[in-house]
Parts: sequence; structure tokens; C-alpha cells
Amino acid sequence: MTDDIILANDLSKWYGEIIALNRFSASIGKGVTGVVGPNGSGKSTFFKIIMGLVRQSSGTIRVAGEKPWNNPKLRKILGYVPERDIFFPWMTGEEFLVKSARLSGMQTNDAKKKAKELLEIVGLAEDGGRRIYGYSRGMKQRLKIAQALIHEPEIVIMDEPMSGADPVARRKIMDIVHQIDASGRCVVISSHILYEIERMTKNVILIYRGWAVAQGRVEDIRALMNMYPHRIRVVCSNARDVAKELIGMNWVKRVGVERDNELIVETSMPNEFYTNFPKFCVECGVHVDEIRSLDDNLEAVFNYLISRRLNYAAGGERE
Amino acid sequence: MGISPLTYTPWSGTRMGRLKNVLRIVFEEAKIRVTVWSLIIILITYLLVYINAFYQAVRPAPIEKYGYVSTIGNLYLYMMLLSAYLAFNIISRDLKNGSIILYLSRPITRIEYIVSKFLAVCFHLSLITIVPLLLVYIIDIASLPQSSKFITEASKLLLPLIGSALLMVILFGSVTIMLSSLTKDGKWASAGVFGVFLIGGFIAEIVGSALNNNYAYLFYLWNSVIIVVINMFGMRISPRSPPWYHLPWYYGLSIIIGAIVLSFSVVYWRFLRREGIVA
Ligand SMILES: Nc1ncnc2c1ncn2[C@@H]1O[C@H](COP(=O)(O)OP(=O)(O)O)[C@@H](O)[C@H]1O
Ligand SMILES: [Mg+2]
Repeated sequence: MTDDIILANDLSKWYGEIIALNRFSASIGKGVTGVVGPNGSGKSTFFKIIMGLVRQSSGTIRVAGEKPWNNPKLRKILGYVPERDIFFPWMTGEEFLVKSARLSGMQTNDAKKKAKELLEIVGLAEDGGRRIYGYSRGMKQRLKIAQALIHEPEIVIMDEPMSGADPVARRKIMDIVHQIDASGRCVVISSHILYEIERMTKNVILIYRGWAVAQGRVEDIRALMNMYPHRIRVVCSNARDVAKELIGMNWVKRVGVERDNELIVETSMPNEFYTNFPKFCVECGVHVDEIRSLDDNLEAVFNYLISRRLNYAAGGERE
Repeated sequence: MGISPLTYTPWSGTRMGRLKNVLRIVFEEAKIRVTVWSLIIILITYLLVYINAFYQAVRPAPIEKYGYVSTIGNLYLYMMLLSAYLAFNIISRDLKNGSIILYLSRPITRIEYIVSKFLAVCFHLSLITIVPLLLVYIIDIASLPQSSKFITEASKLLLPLIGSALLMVILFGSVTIMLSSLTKDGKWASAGVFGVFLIGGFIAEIVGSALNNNYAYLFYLWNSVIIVVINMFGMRISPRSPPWYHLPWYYGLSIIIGAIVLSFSVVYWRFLRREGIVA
């Protein structure tokens, strides 16, 4: 496709014995794309390769048709919000932005004007004159975003911009992402929390242990996740009798009685479960104290998706 | 107000010259590094150099004698102090703060980054070598009786002065950059500066006097510097100076060039062979 701005093909990266990216393939076009995966899955490594900070061990990558390694001119159209801090803590926010702009080749006067403008955009106009070591986590995240936008890049790479940010900063960051998107740029944004990304884009890449597990629209991925056997803990009166009734329902796969008042329900249709269970309780006169999903974490779902893919690749059984 | 719509078309911008890039960073660095501490070191250096020069000046006709060798010897010590301060800051601090990523995620190559940092260090070191040496030289010339013999003597001194200062600036600059790139903990880089420039002195003293071997004194970088200054640039020295000062100049020069090449090889390996510096 000619629309692809970032194209990764069979990308692998080893750090000594550790494999950070494992034959990772993805294509990213205009608009906002989310890269979602648990910690240590290789998101930051992928971004570092895009930025030319790290060289892949094998495979190919093209950013705007160019190889990123040792390609400074490509970095004129790239803006990068790194995971870790990159500040000179003794500088003020504004000085830092001016320096960033200068390093991108802007004239000092333009840089000063642009810095003011961006402090306004990220909501730090009042704090621009304060030294960075006094900034909160959320302020630092926003300053990093300002730094990434100051040279008006075409592609913006954001590595976990929400991490550690307070709710106000989060809202602001989401707002900025929408603005960048609306200005017609390409944004790649990573997170280990799917719902956070869902609020910014419908287009996601799932990454797990260096694999691109799935790429597509959030709805499709949600559907895939719903196929994963979901375990739900129910605290109620008379657990044994309830279990007998539940096992007959087609939206329940298995029921285990933990204690007199506690059940573990396994279902492959969590949505069905959540819509039908309250009705069931009313009909059977069961009093429920607590319902809690045990598999909310992405990691379990990813493990499941990976094993499906491995089975499939090995010609094993398919669900 | 808002993020301006995309107007950029790829590769249409003016291509930034490498030299411009380097000069821009050097300028930024020079601005930042002149902090209170570096100013104090520089001021103390100037003071000591002038006291030394004054002490030499009260003796008869210092230019024809050997006053400058001792001035250069003092500079070796002050440069070590300033280098330790710069090594603490110049690259180590970028590694610690992560600001190295700020440089490398912008249109700057790793080589440009290294060269700029090196030139910034050289700029600071020059402030305490070439500048005070030339000032002392000018003061000397102005304050001494002017004769034709004196003028020819004095003009012969200019090359050794500038040459030895440049040699020391490049030597200290490259070792400083190397040590600073090796660790994110600046105090180790500083300690390394004293290690490199002083420990050789102890080795030379012990080995040299034990074996009664003049070549052992080449371990001490100061000896190599002074051998070049005396035997290559032709600076005069006291007849009572130690015998190893009269080793051939190319021994000293090879050791200094070796140290510079080794330093840059380490930096090259650190930045280009291994990307670990940012990972
Ligand atoms: N510099 C490094 N040296 C060794 N291992 C690394 C390095 N950077 C990352 N890794 C490893 O590579 C894997 C992927 O890391 P990373 O890309 O940071 O994941 P994520 O950003 O998704 O949390 C992890 O197992 C991590 O421990
Ligand atoms: Mg990460």
C-alpha cells in the first residue's frame, strides 16, 4: 500500500540473549494508531527503531519510505515523546523548548515564539518560567509532548504519554492527540491499557512478547478478546445450588464452587454473561454480594491469543 | 490557537549543514557550562598564572630563561581541575538525565554530537590555556627592556606557547570526552581524569627510579607534553632539569597522539558500535 507511512516487516531485535521484538510486522498509515501491549512487550523498542535510536537485528523498516538508522534528515519530520525523561532539570520549561527547537535547526526568535505557542497548547503557559525539577509527572509528560511538536513534525511517536499523569493531564493529553490528528498528521501512541487507547483511536496494533498479535479496529480486537474464556468470581448465598442452576445455561462453560458462598464462573461469552446473569438472579431469587472479573488484565488475554496463533501455525486444533 | 495544519512536504526543507549543526550545539553547550564552578576554576587559574608570571618577571630577563615551562606546568594542574569538572557534566549528565535522546531524536548525527561536545570542552580548556599564556606573553614583552636580541628571542617563543597550549587542549579534551561517555555517574568520570593524568606520574616515579630508566617517565602524560614542548617546539629549559626531559620529541608525541586516538576509539565504540548508550 502506498498509504503506509511506517512499514515494519519481520522486524527482530535482540539485546544480547533477550529478544525484544520477534518478527514484528505492522503497517501504519495516517491518523492515530495505538500500539497496545503489557510492559516488556517491545513497544518502546519498536519506537526506538522508528526514531533511529536503535538498529534492528533483522527485518526491514521504512518510515516515509526511508531507513531510519543513521538518517538525520528523516528526524526533521519525526517528533518523539520518549518513555523516560529527557530534561535538563535546571532549565525552565520554556528554555528547554527553545533549546529543543534550536537543535532542530530553528532560529532563536522563531524558537521563542513557537515555544510560547506550544506551552499554551499543552496547558503549561503559567509554568513555562518555572524550573523543570519542580514539575509534576503530568507536567513533565506535557512538556515532552510540546518538545516533540515544536518543529511541526509530520509523524509523532508517543511512548506511553499518559503514564503517571494525573486525570487533568490525561484529559489534556487526549485533547492534544485529537488536535494533532485533526491537523492531518500521523500519530503512533503506545500504552499498556487498552481502554486508554480506545478513547483516542479505533485503530490498534496488539503487541505481546515482541509479536504483533493482531492489528485492526478496536471492536474486532474486543471481539477476539471476548472469545477468551473469561473467569468471573461471584459471591452469593447458597453457592452450591446456584452452581447447579448455572451449569444449564448456554452462556456458561464451567462452574466451580470455591466456598459455601463463592463461585468461579467460566464463560467464553462475557457479554452474554453480564446481560443475562442479573435476570437469572431475579428468576432464581439469588442474592448476589459481588461480581468480579478475574481476567481483566491484558496479559492473560495475550497469552491466550498467542497460544491460539502458535497452535494455528503448528497445524494444531483451531477453535 | 492550536496545532497548525500539516503544511510540510517531505524533504523540501533546506538541508541543514553539518558545520552549522555542530556550531549551534557548541554555542548552546558553551552557554550552559559556564556556571559558577567553572568560572571559579577559570578565575583561580588566571590568578595563579599571573602570580607565577610575576614571580618569573621579577627575575632578570625571563623570556630568555625558562619561566614559561613552569607556567605550562602549572597549567597542566589547572586543566586537570577544569577537565574533572567538565567530565562530570559534558556527556555523563546527558546519559543520566536522558537528554542524550533529545539530541539524537533530532536531525543530529552521533558524530556531530561527539564533535560538538569535544569542541565545547576545547573551548573551555582554551580559556585557561591559550588565553592566559598569550596575556602573560604580551605583558612580558611590554614590561621588559626592548632590544633587537630580545625581539628575536621573544618571537621564537610564540610558536612553542601556542603549540603546547593546543596540544594540551586537544589531549585533555579527548580524554575528558572519553571518560564522560563511559559512565552516567559523573563522579567516576571526574575521578578518571585525575587517574589518567596523575597516576601515570606515580608509576613513572616508582618504575623510573627503581629501574633507573628514563623511558619509564613517559608514562606520565605531563612528561610527554614537556618533551614535545622542549625538543620539538624548542622551548628553553634550565640546565638542571631532569634527564628524561631530553628524550626525543617523537616519543612524547607518539604517546600523546596514542592517548588521543585511544580516547576517540573508545568514544566511537561507545556511540557507534554499540547503540546501548540510548537503549
Ligand atoms: N537496553 C536493553 N537491554 C536489555 N534488554 C532490554 C533493553 N531494552 C529493553 N530490553 C528488554 O526488551 C524487552 C522489551 O522492552 P520494551 O521495548 O521496553 O518493552 P515495553 O516498552 O513494551 O515495555 C523487555 O524484555 C526488556 O527487558
Ligand atoms: Mg516501554
